[in-house]
Amino acid sequence: MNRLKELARPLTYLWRRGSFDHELADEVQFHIESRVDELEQSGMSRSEALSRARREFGSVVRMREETRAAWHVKWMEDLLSDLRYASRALRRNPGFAAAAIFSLALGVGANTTIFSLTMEFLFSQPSCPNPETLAAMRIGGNSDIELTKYRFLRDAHLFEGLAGSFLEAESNWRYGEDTYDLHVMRVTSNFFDVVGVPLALGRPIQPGEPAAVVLSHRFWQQRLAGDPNILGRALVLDGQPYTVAGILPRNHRTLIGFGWSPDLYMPVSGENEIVALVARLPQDMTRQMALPD
Amino acid sequence: MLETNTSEFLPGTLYLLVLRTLARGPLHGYAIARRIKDSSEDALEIEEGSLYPALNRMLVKGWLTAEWGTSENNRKARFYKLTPEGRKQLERESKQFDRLVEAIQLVMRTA
Repeated sequence: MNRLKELARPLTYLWRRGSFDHELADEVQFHIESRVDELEQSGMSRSEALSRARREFGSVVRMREETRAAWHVKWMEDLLSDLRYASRALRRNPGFAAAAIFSLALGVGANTTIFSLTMEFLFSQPSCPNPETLAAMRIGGNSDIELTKYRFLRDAHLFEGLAGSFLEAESNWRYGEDTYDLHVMRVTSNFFDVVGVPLALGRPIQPGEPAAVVLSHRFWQQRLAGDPNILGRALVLDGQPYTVAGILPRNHRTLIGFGWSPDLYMPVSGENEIVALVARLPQDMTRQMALPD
Repeated sequence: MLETNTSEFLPGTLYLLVLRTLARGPLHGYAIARRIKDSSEDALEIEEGSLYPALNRMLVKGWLTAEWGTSENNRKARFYKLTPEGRKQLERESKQFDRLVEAIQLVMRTA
């Protein structure tokens, strides 16, 4: 109980800071008035007495600072001694300390994880207009299908648009004397057209264009030093020149999400490549209708 | 660190004087200064600039409590009162002070 009171005293000061200053001012006022009364009784005029009393009192500002400091120092000392007390108690009981730290860490970790997942699943959207009319498609339980099958489906015009992408691709980038392994997203050349990914600079890969790439903002900044004249230049990827058509915005989010982002988007090349399908549903088609019977 | 008393005082004696003055009953700040001045036959004059910070430090230490009341001239005044802890502090400090004075006197007589 005593300890509680000790803790409460400086805290009361913090809560009542405004009234503390006010009270001190009242006290000074009282002091000066009392002195004025006394001087007046000894035959001094009121105004003379007032100025004399003020002069005698000296600097009110300095006095107030010192008075406040008394409480501030107490507050700091209390905080320090509480911290010392807490660390002593924890050191004396390392098992308890470990359990406490572990549960706190677990709590913070779980909280962060749930927050991140909630952000991903409930609140974030990929960088494209009307993501609600985009649907991922699987054929026969496979996430990816061959290009020939893709073309057949695309030309059937079941949807407003149908594009394909392959996200676990890599590419060798020849830069000067060195070759680097890049993470790339291989997309059918109509991908940007169907999905509608916004760009920061330049233009998307056009349908039917076989040798153009779109760079991620990070790749452009970090690997190409943000070269402002990069558009229209060629990068040598897998031994072939690809024209840099555009650059994605800094906050670009892929359709997959989860922070996954490739260094660049490039068109699918070989006939034996496979792609995952993404369809743009027509305005009047719901996901339910798009599902097979 | 902040024990700034009037320069003529020995360090810490302001506390002792205030504690001793309040031992006879609660007083407001002005009366404390007045009482010390009177009972020392005007020898000790306490600067207001150090009195109020000292009173607040003593509140922080828990030696005093303060309460608003009405003064003899019908004004709102803050009255300071000794706590039991303050009374103990008074005993300790007066003993220490007596020892200090004796020691100084010894030096003065022998040296």
